[in-house]
Amino acid sequence: MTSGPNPSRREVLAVLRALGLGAAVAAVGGCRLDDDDDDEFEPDLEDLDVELTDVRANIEAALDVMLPGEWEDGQLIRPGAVECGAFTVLQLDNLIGLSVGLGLLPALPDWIDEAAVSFDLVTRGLISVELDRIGSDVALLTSFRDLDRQQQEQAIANAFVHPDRAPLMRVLRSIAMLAYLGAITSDIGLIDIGYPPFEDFADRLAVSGYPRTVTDGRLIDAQTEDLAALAAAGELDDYTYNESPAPTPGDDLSQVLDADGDLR
Amino acid sequence: MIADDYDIVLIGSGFGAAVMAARLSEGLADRGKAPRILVLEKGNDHTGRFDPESDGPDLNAQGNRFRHTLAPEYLADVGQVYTDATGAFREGVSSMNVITGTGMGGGSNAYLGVSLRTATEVFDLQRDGRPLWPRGTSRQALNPYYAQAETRLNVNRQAWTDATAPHHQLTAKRDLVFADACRTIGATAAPLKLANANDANDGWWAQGQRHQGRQNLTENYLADALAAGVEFRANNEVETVVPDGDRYVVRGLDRRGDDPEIFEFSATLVIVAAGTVASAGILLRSEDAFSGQRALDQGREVRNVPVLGRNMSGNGDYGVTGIVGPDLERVIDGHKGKPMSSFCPSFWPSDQFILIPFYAAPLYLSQGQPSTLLRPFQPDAVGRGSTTTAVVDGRPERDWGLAYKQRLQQFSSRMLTMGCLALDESEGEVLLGPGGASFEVRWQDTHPQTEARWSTAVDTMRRIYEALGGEMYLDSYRKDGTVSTAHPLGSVRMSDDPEYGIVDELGESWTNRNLFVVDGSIVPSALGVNPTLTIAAVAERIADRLLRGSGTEALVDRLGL
Repeated sequence: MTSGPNPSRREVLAVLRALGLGAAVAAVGGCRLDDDDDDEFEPDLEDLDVELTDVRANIEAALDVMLPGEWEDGQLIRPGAVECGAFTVLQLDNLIGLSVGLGLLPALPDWIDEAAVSFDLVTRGLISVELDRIGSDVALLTSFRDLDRQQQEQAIANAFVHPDRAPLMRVLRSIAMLAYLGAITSDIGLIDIGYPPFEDFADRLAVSGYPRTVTDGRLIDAQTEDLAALAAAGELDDYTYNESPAPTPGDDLSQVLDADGDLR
Repeated sequence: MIADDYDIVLIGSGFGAAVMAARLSEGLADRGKAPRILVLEKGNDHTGRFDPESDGPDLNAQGNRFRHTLAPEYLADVGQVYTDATGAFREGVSSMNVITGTGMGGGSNAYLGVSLRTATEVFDLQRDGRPLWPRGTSRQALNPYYAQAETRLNVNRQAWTDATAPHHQLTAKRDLVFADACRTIGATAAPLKLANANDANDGWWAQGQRHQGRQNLTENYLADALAAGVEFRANNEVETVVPDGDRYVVRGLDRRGDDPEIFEFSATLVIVAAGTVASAGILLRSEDAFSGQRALDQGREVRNVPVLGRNMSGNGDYGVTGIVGPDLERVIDGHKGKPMSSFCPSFWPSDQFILIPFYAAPLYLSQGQPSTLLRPFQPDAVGRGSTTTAVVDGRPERDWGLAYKQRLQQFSSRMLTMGCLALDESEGEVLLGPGGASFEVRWQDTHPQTEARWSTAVDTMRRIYEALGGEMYLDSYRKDGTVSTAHPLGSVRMSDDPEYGIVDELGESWTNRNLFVVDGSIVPSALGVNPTLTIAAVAERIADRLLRGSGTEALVDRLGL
């Protein structure tokens, strides 16, 4: 994790503590938590003693517990956080700033430049180490990714109610939700909850014109086509009724609104 | 260091600045004058038309840099949140979040196009026996300027039904459902006036939208200013405004490119229009440079009570979220169509609030509210937003996992958000953050009158949800005491009395000739409706009066042209 090109130890520790990773840092000997020196802190990935592929597998296993993909006979039937690109979201440059700005995470100390803080390789490694520690409580000497599903869920459930471990769980949960509903790298999560696909996701354009047909998504020319006939046939995907609501007895808005629809 | 001389420098590019830039440049051109006018915008130019050197990703097929998603670069381009670092989201501590638009076009990058005129009675509001508004600023006086703004912003009233209306001018299904619920509780809904141009489908507003559908200021006022010769610099953040003899020096940082550079632009006339939070913040930061007779905050001298930054209104914004009954599943379909197209004005005469149903992205609605997703399946579950965690099958509910995801899939098509806009008692305040580098907002204790209006509004919204066979589940103010507003007003109030305002009715500083503030910050009270049209109308009036020299020194004389 970095906060600008040369983060101070104080900055890094504050962010790691906020995420509940202080114990993980201590466990791998990355630094001493009681050291208040403002020296530059540049933990080395080698300190963590983890394989990069394991890091990804561990984190994706946790993200899949948060919002699981649903499989049947080896086929994905409904996507989860991983299928929606959660690991890519985790690597966004200013993910912390985005999450705080959206109110998904609590505010960090004001002397930390949130926009510059990112989950770099070292931080992802620390998350992986912490997941293994969480998993060890359920099955000793077993990496989180190697726990069976029930054990992974139990480990995550335990962590959510553990005061020191809950912050990281909330971060991972936010990342899972951002990937699934935020349409950051893919719109398949939104499609999964009933949204129409973005017409042009590559260019991040979601023009999604209406009205259109239900069956093939063809945009309809509202000026020339018979909308009523299409609606009667169940073919109209529209967002209007084009009809007036029933009048409210005794409630005359003429004393409240003028002829243009403004408050008097 | 970058240095240059201008006749007029405008700080900001939102509704106040855009109107002033367009009207003053056009008006002076009509008089045969060609002044140098500069607009300084802190954020990006997402169009690339106003400042080709602006930062940002490549232009897309629609000719802008918007990514149309929640991607960080998109959000950073269009929005900014100001908050109180000491109180935000802390239980039992009142705090305030102010969401503002940013980038070229200011608030129009994030607004939903609602364009209502303010009610006549608002301009007659009093506090402590004194009128809040200048005597000359009334609905009647603003009406012609409202009309001018409506024309240039392409404002039209939505219709429930109209065989000849373009598709984008019809209200959404969501609004007819809302109207039916209003009728059930004895109220009535009406179509809104919106600034839109074609099939906006702005329901994607938080997750992507057709940018051209909504009337962004880059499509009208700012485009006209550019055509009239106004210069624009994006990614240029103003830090201070300092008096320098008969002129002003606007200092700040040009953040374009890899190496930020300090700028100092000298101007005969400065218009601060950076929005309610930033305008107050820039002036607070500059205050020490205005000494003695030129003190910005005259109230401090007279009453020992500073006015600058105080009395900020959140426009009575109060949002709640809920679900409608299963019979209406897929009817609400919030992501389709415009995010807002009707409102309920029935309670305005008695309680001074209006209600608007609108679409909010499921990401926001799902976060932290897991128990509410149980409601379709567990009618007795108590929502976490209502303080108690539900217990399902003997275990506390989870806000993660397969069951949660499946609830989310069921829930999304029934979500409906509602907002109240009301008169409030201006309990907010803008302050400088540590070292003056940032701006913060604070919300003092809620005034009993504000509380009473909100209570009535929330109760009404709850009844509407119930009329729709659903329930209101998220009341974030009641939950954590955080006031959230997208309509901040009044931190640099205009007033007829220099003891109670920083600027006069035409936005000019009471103590500093040719220093103007023209944006939401000078609006001296809550409006109870979305404020952009009123800010534009006030700016139209100020520009007109300046150009004509009506009740003030004419602009050509001020500039020595």
